Amino acid sequence: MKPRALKSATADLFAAAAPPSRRAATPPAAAASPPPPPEQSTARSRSRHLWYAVVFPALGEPQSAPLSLERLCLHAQRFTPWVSIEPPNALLLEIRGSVKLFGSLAALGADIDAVWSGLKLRAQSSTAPSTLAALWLARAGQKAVLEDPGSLAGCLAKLSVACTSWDPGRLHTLRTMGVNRIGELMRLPRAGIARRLGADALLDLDIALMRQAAPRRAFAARERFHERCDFEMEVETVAYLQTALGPLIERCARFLRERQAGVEALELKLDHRTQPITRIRLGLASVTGDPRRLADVSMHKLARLELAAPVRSLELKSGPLRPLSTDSFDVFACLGGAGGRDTAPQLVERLRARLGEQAVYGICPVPEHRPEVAWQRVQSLSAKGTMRVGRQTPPPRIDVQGMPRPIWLLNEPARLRAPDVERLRQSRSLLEGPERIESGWWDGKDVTRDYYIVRQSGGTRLWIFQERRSRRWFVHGVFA
Amino acid sequence: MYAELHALSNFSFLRGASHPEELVERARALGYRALALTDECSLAGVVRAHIAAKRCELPLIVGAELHCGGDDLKLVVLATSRSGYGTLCRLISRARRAGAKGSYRLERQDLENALDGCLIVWLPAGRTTLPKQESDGRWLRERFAGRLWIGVELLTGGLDARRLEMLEALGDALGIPRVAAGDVHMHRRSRRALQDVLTAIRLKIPLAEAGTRLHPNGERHLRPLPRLEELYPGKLLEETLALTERCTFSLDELRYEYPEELVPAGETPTSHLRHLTELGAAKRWPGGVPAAVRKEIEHELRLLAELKFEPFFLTVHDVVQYARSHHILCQGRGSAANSTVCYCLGITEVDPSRMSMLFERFISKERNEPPDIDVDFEHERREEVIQYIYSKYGRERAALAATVICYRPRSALRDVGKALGLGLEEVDRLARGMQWWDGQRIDPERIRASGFDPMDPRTRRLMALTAEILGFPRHLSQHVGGFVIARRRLDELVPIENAAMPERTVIEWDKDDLDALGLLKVDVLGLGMLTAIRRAFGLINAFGGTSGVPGELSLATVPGEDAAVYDMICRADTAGVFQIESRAQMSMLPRLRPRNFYDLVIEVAIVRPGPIQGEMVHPYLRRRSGEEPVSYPSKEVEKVLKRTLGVPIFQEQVMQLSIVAAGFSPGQADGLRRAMAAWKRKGGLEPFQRQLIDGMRERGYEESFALQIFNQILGFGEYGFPESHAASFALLVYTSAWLKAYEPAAFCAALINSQPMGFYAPAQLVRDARSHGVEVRPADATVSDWDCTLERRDDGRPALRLGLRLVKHLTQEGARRLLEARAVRPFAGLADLAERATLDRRDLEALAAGDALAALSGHRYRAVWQVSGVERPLPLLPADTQVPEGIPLLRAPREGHDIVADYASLGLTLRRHPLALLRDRLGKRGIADTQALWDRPDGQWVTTAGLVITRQRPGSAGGVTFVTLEDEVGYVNLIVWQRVAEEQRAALLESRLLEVRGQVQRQGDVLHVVARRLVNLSALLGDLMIESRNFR
Repeated sequence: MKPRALKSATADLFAAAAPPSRRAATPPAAAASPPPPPEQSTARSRSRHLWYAVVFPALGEPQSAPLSLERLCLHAQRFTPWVSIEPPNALLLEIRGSVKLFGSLAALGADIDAVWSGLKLRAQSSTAPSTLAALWLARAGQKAVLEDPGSLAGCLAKLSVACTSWDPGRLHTLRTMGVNRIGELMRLPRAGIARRLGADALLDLDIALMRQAAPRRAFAARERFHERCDFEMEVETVAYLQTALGPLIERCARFLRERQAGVEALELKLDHRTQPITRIRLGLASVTGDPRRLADVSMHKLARLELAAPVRSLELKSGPLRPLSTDSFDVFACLGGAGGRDTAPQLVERLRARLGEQAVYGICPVPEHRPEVAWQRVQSLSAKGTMRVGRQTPPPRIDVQGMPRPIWLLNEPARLRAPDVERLRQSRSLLEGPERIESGWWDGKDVTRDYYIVRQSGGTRLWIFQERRSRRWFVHGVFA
Repeated sequence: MYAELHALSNFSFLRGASHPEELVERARALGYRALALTDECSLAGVVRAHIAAKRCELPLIVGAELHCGGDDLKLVVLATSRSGYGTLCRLISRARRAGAKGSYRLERQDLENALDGCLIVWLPAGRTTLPKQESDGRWLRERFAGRLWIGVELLTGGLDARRLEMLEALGDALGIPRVAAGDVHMHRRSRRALQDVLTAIRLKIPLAEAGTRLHPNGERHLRPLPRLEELYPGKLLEETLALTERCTFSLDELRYEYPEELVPAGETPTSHLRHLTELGAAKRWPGGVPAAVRKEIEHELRLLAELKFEPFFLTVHDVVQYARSHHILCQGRGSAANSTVCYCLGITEVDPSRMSMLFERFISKERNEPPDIDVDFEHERREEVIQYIYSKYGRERAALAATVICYRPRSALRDVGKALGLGLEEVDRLARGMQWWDGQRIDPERIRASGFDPMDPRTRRLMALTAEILGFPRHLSQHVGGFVIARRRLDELVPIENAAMPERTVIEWDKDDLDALGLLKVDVLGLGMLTAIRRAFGLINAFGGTSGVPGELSLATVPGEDAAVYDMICRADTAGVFQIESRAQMSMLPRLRPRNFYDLVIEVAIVRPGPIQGEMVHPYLRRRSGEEPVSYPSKEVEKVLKRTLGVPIFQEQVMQLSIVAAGFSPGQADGLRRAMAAWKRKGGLEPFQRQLIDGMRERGYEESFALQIFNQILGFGEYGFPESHAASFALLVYTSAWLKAYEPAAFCAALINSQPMGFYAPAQLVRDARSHGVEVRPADATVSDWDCTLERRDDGRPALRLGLRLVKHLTQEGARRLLEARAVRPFAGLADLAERATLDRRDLEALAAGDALAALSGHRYRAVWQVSGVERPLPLLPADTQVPEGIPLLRAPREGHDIVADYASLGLTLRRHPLALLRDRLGKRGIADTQALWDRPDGQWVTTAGLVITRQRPGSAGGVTFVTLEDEVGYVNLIVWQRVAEEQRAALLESRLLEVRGQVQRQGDVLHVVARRLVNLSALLGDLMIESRNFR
C-alpha cells in the first residue's frame, strides 16, 4: 500500500504532529484523526492487527532523536500509513493491511529491515499482535515474528523487565524484590502491582498481553501553508496576479492565526507553460502573521517583477511556522502603524523588496575596545535583536572614558607615509590622545595601539594610530 | 621620585594579577620610594608584602581600596600609625561581617567617625557629573580635612589631559590637594592577558563577551619612573612622598597580648599557673611528687615566667578544662604540649616517666620561639569547643585563622578554559584528565590524552595562562582549627570576616602570616580516633568494665606497657589502630618490632616523608637489628642522636644538629624550622642548604652526612614530625591497640560509629573483628540501635550488633522514631512498625533493602514487596484497616543476590565474601587467591585478583601507587610503578574488582606483588557497589 497522496490544500496530513502519548493512565481518547484501527480485545488465532516495532539503539541522544525519528518515519510510511513514533528511539508500524501487497509477512519484514540496513542504521525489529509486545521484543533484541496472540504470554515471560523502559525508580523497585523477568511480574497479584508500581504499569502489561486496546496516533508531517491557484486562462499582467494573490494571502494569514504562528518568509511560485518556474522569496523583517504585512511585501515584490512568460498557475507556500513572540507584538506597539502609518518593519520590508535582502541592514554597537570589532551588522529588525548582540548591557564598572570615535571607519587601516607622519607631528594639529588600546589577544587579533585625533590642513579630523610594536602609523577613520 | 599609593595584589581576588611579593620586588627594582598595598577591602596579602618589603628594604604602606555604597565613593585608605591601622581593620571587619562570605558591604554612614589615623585618597569616578563630585568632595572634606587627597590616575585612556585638568579644577574649588596614583593591578605589563582572564572569570563569562568590561590596555602596572614623569606633572608625583612620610606604621609594631580574665583577682599569671600545676601534680602523683619531676616542674615554670608564656598555658588549660568537664576527650600535642607542666594541667596524658629524655628541649629561651600547643578533640564534638571559645571571648576577640585556597591544576584549567571560551564539555574533559595525583604541574601529555593538541595556539594560550594562574589565591577559607584569641579587640589587630559556615568567623591571615608576625594561636583540632576511643570506653564501661582494670576505663587507666599489645603490633595485626594501620606502617612493624612506648614514638615518626626521603629508615632498622654498628660522627652529635641510634628522625634533632654540627645560631635554627614548613609552597631553603653544608664541612663532617641531613630537611616539608607530636600520637596508638587486643568487639563498634575516619571501611573492620573471634550480628529493626552496640552472649562475652546507621538511605530522624516506638512495646509486624514509627516509604524501603526487616517479614524480597505496598493511613479509615491483598509468589533471593544487596545497602555483608562466589570463574582465568601467594617464592610471576580496598599515592614514594586488594581469604598489597600506572591508568583508577599480573616480592614477613598488567574485572561483580577509598 502506498502512502496517500498529499492533498494540496491546508493542513497536510493529520492535525497535530505532537508525539503520541503512551503514558496516559486511561487509554487515550481516540481524538486523533483519522481514528486509529481499534485493537480487538479478545485473542483469536489471527489477530486483526499486527505491529512491527523497530528500535534504533544508536539514537540515544535526546536532542537529535526526534528529528531523525521523524525522518525515519517518512521512510516507514512507504509500507503503511499507520506509523507512530516511540521516543526516544523506536517506531511502530501497523502492517496487517500491507502483508498482502508485499506477498508475505516475511517478505514485508525483510523489505522494511532492508530500509534500515540501507541507511546503515543499527536496528532491532520484532513483529507481534500488540504494540507493546512488539516494542518490548524489539528492545530485547529478539527478532521475533509472532502472529498468534496465544503465544504472547510465553514469549514475553522470558524478557527482562528492563525491556519495558519504565522509569529507573520502578525498575529498581522491581529488582529489589527479585523481579527480573516479565514472567515473574505476571505471577504477582494484580492489585499489588497496581498499588506498588502504579496503575499504568498494569495497563502496559495488559496492553502487551492484548487484554487492553491501545490506540496509537499516526505520525503527521510538519505543517506548512501551501495553496495553489490555477488560472482558467494564462495571465500576462502583474496587476492580475496581485488580485489573484490577495485571497491566498488572506487564507494564509488565517491559517497562521489559527495556529498562533507566524512566518519569516513566504515563497511564491509562478508556473509557466514554456519557461521554467519562477520562484519569488518574500522575506519578512520579523516573524509575523499580520495580513497587512504579508500583503504589503508581496505587493512590492510583485510590483518590481517583470514576467518572463504568461503564468498558468500560482502557488503560495509558507516557510516553517514560527511561534509568535511577544516582541512581534511589541514592534507594532512601539513603532506605530496605527492610523495608516507604516511600521518600521514594513518600511524595511519595503526597502528590501526593492533593493534586495542584503542591501538593508542595521548596525549595532558591540562593547569592545578594538574599534574594528566594536560594531556589527544585523539583519533582524526586532527590537530585541539590536539589543541581543551585546548579550548583556555592561554595568558601568570599568569606565569607558575613551576619546570620541568616528562613525566612518576605514575597512582596513591605511598606512601613513613617513613624510605625512612628520608633517602631522610638526604642525600643531594634534587634538586629542593618546588613547592606548591593548586588547584582543585571546582570538589571535591582539592590537596594541596609541590612537590620536589630528586635524588635517583642510580641516578634516582624522583618527590615526601608531602600532606600538612596529612603531608604524595608520589612519583608521574620518570624523564627519 | 614616586611612591605608588594604589596597588592591588592577587589578594583582591580575581582582580589583581600579581603576588604581593612580586609587586614589592618590582617596585624596589624600579626605584620607587615606597609601595602601598591596597587590596579591595582586605589586608589578606599585607603580611606577605611586609616580609618581602623587609627583605628588600622597601617601605611598605598598609592600606585598602574601599568601594562605598556600591560605586558611590571609591577611596584608597592608608594607615599612618598603629591606631590608624586599628581603625582600618575595624572598618574592614565591619564591612566584611555585613556582607556574605567573600563580599562586603560598606555604606557612607560607616565612614562617620571611622578611619582616624588614616589618610584618604579619593578617586572621583570619571562618569559622574560635576555637581555630584563637588558634593561628594565637600562631604569627604568635612570628615577627613587635612588628610584627604584627590587621586589622579592617568592611564592613557585618551582624555588624560582633560581628566587632569578637571581634577585639578575640582581640587582647587574644594581646597583638596591632588596626588598621583597608578591603579596598579599587576607588577608588569606582561600580566595583561592574565588580568583579562581574571576579569572574565570574575564576571563568569568568556573573554570574547567581556568586551569593555576588560581594561582597555595594560597600563595598570608598575610603570617605570621616566614614563610616569612623562605622564604626570612633577608636583603630583612629589606629593606621593608627602603621604609616604606620614605613613610610618609597620606591621612589626603589632604585639600580641593574651587574655587576662583567666587569672583570678589577686593573683598573677605566674602564681595562678603555679597553683594549677601544683593541684595537678598532687593528683598525678598522689604519693608525692618525685624529686626529678619536681625539679623539672620548677625549671619549666621558671622558664615560662621569664618568657611570659603563662597566659598562653592558662588559655589552653581553660579550653581543655571545658572539654573535660563536658566529657570530650582531648589530647595535646606540639612542641610544648608534652612538658611536665602540661601533664600536670591535664593538657596531655603522656606521662613523662614513660619517656626518657624528651623534655629538656620543649621550650628554649635562646630560640625565643612561641610555644606550640595543638589540642586534638573528638572530631564530632570539636564544634562544641569552638563555640565555647567564641562565647567566652566574643567574636571581637576570638576568630579562626584563615587558609588561603589557591588555584590548583584542575581548578585553574577549568576556570581559564571557560574564560577562553572552551565548551563546558571540553573543560570537563580537560579537568577530568587531571587526576588528583598529578600534583602541582601540568603535563602536556595529559593535555594530549584529553584530546587537545598542545601545539594549537588556543591550547598554548590555555597552558601558558594556567601555568601563570597556578598558586594564585582564589578565596579565603577557615583553617582547620587555629584560634587566635586577643586580650583586647582582635578586629584592631587584623580584619575579621565571615566564613562559609554559619557561626564561624575567620581572620584574614593564615598560619604562615601569624607565624611571621609572632602571633600565637591555639590549635583546636578534630581527631576521629579520639571519638572512637571515647566511644569504646563508653561501650565497655556500660557493658560492665573490662577485666584487669578496676573502675572506669579511661585514657589514664588503660594498663601501660602490656606485652600482649606489643606482640599484636609486631604481627602487624593493626587494622583500625591509630596511625599504624596504614599499609606503609604495617609493612614496617614486623621489621621495627616495637617493644615499648618510645619504640612507638619512633615508629610513628619514622614512616613519614621526611625520614623516608632522607633515607633514614633502613639505616635505623639495620642498627636496631644489630646488622650495622651504631656510631656517631662526633661527641656532640652523639648527644643529639643517641636515643635514635645515631639516625636523625625527629624535627627537633635536625634543628639541634644544625646548631651543634653546622654552627647555626638558635635564631637561624628557628628560621630553618619555619623554612622547612613552608618550602614546598614558597621555596626559600637554598640559603640554608649552603650554610648547613659549609658549616658541617668546616667542622669536619663528611659532605655525605651533611647532604643526608639536608635531604631529610627537604622531606620534612609540611609533614615534619616533632618528637612531641609523635609522643602524643604514640599514646593514642598504644591506647587503640590495647582496645583492639582486649576489647575487639567494642573497638570495632566504636570505629564504625565514628565513621568516616581512618583507613578502613566498615566492611574491613567487621571482617577483621570476625577473624578475631568477635560474633557480629546483623542490623535488625527489632533489636538494633542507631549505633553499633554490644550484646551479651550466653558465655558472657560481648557480641557486636550492627547499628541501623549502616543502612543506606535510612534517615536518622526515621530511625529515632522507630527506636522510640519500639521502646514502648516490640513490633507485632511490619504494618505495626510502619504505623507506630510513622515511617515513610523511603525509610521502610531502606530498612528492607538492608535486610533489617527479616525478623518481621521473612526474606528480603518479601520485605521489599511488603514495604512498597505500605500506604499512609487515610484519615477517614480506621487505622487497622488492611487492604486485602494476594500472597505474592516471590522466590527467596539467591546468595549472590543477597550479597550484592548487602553491599549496596550496608557496604558490607556477613555472608560469604563476593569473591568466594566468583572463585570458580576466577580459577578458570588462572587467578590465585591471596593466601596462595604466600607459598610462592620471591620473584615468581603470579596472577591474582581482589576488590580494590584502597589506592594510595604518598608524596614520598616517588610516583608509586599502592593498592590493597581483598579477596575471601585475605589481602594483598600491590606496588604499581609510575610507568605502569600511567600506561594502565584507566584500569588502575576505575576497577572495583582488579586482576593483576605481577611478580611476588618478599622481605621477611612482608609480601607485595609488583604489578605489571592490570585488568578491570568489575563487570563480574554485576551490580556490586563497593566504593574504594582513595588516599593521598
